[in-house]
Amino acid sequence: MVSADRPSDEKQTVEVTFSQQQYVVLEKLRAEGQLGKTDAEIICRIFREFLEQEGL
Amino acid sequence: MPQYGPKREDIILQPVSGKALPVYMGEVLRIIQVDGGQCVDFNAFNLHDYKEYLGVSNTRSYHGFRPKKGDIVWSVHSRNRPMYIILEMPETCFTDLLGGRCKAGNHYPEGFTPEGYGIHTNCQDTFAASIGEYDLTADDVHDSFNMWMNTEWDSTGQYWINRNTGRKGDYVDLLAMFDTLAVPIVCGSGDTGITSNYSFKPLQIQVFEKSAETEELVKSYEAKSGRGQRKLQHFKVKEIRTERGLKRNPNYVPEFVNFPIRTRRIQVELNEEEYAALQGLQKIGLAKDDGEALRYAFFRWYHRNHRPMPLSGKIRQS
Repeated sequence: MVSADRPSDEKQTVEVTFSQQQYVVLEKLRAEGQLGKTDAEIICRIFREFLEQEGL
Repeated sequence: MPQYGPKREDIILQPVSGKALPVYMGEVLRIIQVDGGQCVDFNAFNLHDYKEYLGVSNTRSYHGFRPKKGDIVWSVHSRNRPMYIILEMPETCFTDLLGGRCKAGNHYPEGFTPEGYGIHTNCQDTFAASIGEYDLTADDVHDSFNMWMNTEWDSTGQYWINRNTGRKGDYVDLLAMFDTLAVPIVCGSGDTGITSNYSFKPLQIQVFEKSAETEELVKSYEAKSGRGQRKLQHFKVKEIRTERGLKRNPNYVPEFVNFPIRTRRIQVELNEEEYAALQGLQKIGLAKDDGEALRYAFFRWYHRNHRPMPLSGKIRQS
């Protein structure tokens, strides 16, 4: 059981596939620099924001 | 309201008739309700290339089902160019981009058949009769931008027509963004249908020459909205067919955009809590595997929060 106050350090690696056009979106977000420096950082950050917006 | 140039055209369209008339770049076409309550069907073509014509579905994709004052009437998707700007349109003018246009066959069940009472007036045939003046055929009639056509629809996809709300003296002003052949007509189904409140009425059509102000408006809309347009030189096949039958060109090699689509794999590390949430997305049917769930979440967020909207369309991002 994972506590909301103390997230586990256990990491799960997920592989996601982007088309070259989808990747352009990611590249643009990386160039903007507000959501992270690497592809993985940006995807992770957006995933967290998505969960928050969805109330999940 | 900008100052228009002098009036150069002023005609009355008697029921049930229409007129194809050039409206040049910067000019304004005015369509006036003479008595009120008359549905107007409208076609338009690029005066110099009739294959570019008014795009009903393209306009709908930008502005929804009811374009109104301030909206753009677009040419077809293949050209995607602002064609007219709706400079004036009263709130009593409901517009319609669903109905297409009426045709003789609509009235066959009422007995208006060639072998029965003769065909009923209808917009397909009125358009065809009007554009024949420019050697265009009945097949060149396209879906109509309908004005003062009070349609409604529901969430099941059904639509219907309500009472016409047009008032005597109402008018719509359309600013031409390039040289066009405009074809306003009196809708031919409004006597036995409610489209025009069960009677035909005439329409008045005026054209105002361009002025410095309307030219400036054209330039500003062109600068604002003209970026996505396509021209004939962008097309791989440019010639218009002259034969009716279709034959395969064995030498043709299609050039699909970004074909074949390439993909890139990205490894993302999620903590236990995030991973559980990712699993949750799959449990509620939003994705079949981890990667799909993550991609779904990414682009769902992007659409809602970050995607630039084309123009100021009314299409809501769900």
